[in-house]
Amino acid sequence: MENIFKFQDLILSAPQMILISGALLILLLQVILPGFRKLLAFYITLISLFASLYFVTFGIPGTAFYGLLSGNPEGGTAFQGNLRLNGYIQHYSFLILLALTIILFFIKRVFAEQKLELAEVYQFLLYIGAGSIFTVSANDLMTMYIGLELSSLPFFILAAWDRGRATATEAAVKYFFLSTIGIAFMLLGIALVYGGSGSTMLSEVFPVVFAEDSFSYKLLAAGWFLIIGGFLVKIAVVPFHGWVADVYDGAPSVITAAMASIVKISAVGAVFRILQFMQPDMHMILNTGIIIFAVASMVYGNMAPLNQNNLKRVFAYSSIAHAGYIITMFMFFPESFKAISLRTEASSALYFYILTYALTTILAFATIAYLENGEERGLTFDHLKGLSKKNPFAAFLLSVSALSFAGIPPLAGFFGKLFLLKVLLSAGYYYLAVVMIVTSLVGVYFYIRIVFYAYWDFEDENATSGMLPPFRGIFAWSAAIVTAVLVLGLGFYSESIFNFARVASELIQ
Amino acid sequence: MEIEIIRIIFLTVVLFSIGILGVLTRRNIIVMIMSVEIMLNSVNLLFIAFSRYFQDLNGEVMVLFVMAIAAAEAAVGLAIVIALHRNYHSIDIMDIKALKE
Amino acid sequence: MITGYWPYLIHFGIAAAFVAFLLFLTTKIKPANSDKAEKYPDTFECGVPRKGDARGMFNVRFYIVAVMFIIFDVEAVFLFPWAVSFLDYKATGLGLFILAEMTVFLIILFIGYFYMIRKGALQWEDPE
Repeated sequence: MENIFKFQDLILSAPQMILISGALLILLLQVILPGFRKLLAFYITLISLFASLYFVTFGIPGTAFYGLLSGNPEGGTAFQGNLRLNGYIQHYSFLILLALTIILFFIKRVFAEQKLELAEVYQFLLYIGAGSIFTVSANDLMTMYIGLELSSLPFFILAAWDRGRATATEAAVKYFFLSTIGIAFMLLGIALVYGGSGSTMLSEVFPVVFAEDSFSYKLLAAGWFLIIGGFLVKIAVVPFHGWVADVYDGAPSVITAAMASIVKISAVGAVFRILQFMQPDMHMILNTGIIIFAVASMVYGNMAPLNQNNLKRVFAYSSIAHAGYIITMFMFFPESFKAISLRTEASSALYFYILTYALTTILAFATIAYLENGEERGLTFDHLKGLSKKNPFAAFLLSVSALSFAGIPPLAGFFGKLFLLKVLLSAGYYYLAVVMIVTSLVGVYFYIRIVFYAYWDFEDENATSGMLPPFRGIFAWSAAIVTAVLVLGLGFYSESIFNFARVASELIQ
Repeated sequence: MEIEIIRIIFLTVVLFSIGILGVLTRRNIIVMIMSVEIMLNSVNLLFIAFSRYFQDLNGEVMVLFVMAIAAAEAAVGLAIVIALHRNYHSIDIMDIKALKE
Repeated sequence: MITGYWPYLIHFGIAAAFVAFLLFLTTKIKPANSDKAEKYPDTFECGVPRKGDARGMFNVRFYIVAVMFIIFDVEAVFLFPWAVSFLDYKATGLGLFILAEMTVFLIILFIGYFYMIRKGALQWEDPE
């Protein structure tokens, strides 16, 4: 029996290991230090996240751990092939860590103001980061399952973090059932894939060749569809949208920001990776389903908020619509698209889109978290009246995120949609592109409505005055400014980011 | 006596469906959590069956992980139910509708 | 064929007849309006007078202890396969590594355990 442990394994999984160690350090310090300070936990979390970000970006010199900036690394596998590391996975890890760092800054301020700050919050954030990266980088369905659970269990707790508020606990229990049922379906899928191919390792499942009508082939197909279905629950597209609006509405707003961004990033990264391990002829069936789901999500997500008065629900429905746009990129895996390299185009368009989507959604929900400041129910449009005078910074942030969601040209969201449309059109999915354009034009109405309410001079604007606090906290200021600048400015660098992501997309496996 | 694998797949699917039905139709949240556990454990059964069928230990290792995670999930779920009960004084899913529009 | 199932029919018949017989027997030998029946109107419970309702309230502390027990109990599931295969690994010279690996797992588990004690999850004090 050869040595089953290599030190290289720990280096190749450095980001996850740093995050887990940080979380365990917080746990340990709470045991041995009597007067443990929340601030210390915050800094440990910050340092762990920055260290991971540094390693993901620049790599560890002299080892097999290549960073984001070292071209197109072939990467390697760790822990007997359980984890995969390559440029594509580094891209998604970077995105997860970036989103988590921004959210950390917001959480620090918002939870401190609402008297909800405990050291455990930071620990849970670290678990979420590690679990999400494990999900994306898993090369074995078993590891993927554990990573998914590691990233969703803390979310159940964080959703109920404001446990004295009835809506928060309701959101938590709904998210619990939504998520566990999704994961149970995925687990059944994993079992069927295991039954069909005799292995749970992705790179061993793929080469198995079947007769088209054999029993194993049917098991495998059913398994793959269930796994993709489980991920679609996580991405919250329409047939599975279920209680998503309730969950996003009820959970604390900063936690909603994390839910809407990080869960989707990791799920999209994982789905796009495992789709290529499906046998090629299953993709034709899957594509039909994806088209239906995508169209349904786009229509529902843009229609439902039209008469909606609750601001958080508007953004929750819009996240369903954006999930619809996102999953159109899952259709480029049949063999015919490989020849014209549409798959790498789709991968990098998806990456840019999810980057802009994550930043925008974090900005939107974090600003809402500031504005509501412990209100029992979320903000409505009426609360926004006169916002530009009372709190011009928040009005600006909210408008930037709304306009970026709407896809107004100089902002990042526009270029994200542009790339998706370009890929769809060059693949010949004209009707899908038309649906996408029409539904997002419908959506522009309620995004513009947010900007209108924030900036228009209303007669009765003093009716709701006094409940909008000023924007406070140096961390939150800096995070808000950085995010807003990214949302405003990423569009100008869209082409270079697109090309940069394309280099990594050539080696997705 | 060897049992055909197809029968165990049928048994699993039946148990899994019972779990889904339980989650969808029962109103007591504790019973819903138990139904989720039935779903997870039916999958465990399938893993064991395939593991024996292939003479391969991977499936049984998976079962151990699923069991451990299911326990953690149940603990978190019950904790949420306690918090919910403090707010609503009920664990009937029909009474939990503060968020309904 | 249906005919293959007639033993079940007989079985069912016997069971039904037995139940009917028992019901008949109880009506015959039951002491009618005796003093004891007046004295214990409740459900029969080993002859001891019943105390309270079976669906009574429990202290919420029981729940916390139970949850902690479930978590730490299930983690033991990883110990059994490890213990079974330990000697095989030891024979191949990997004994120390396997031992270290389980030690890391147990240390993490024990950090959680001490955290639990620190937070007072096992302290038994009445909320009121």
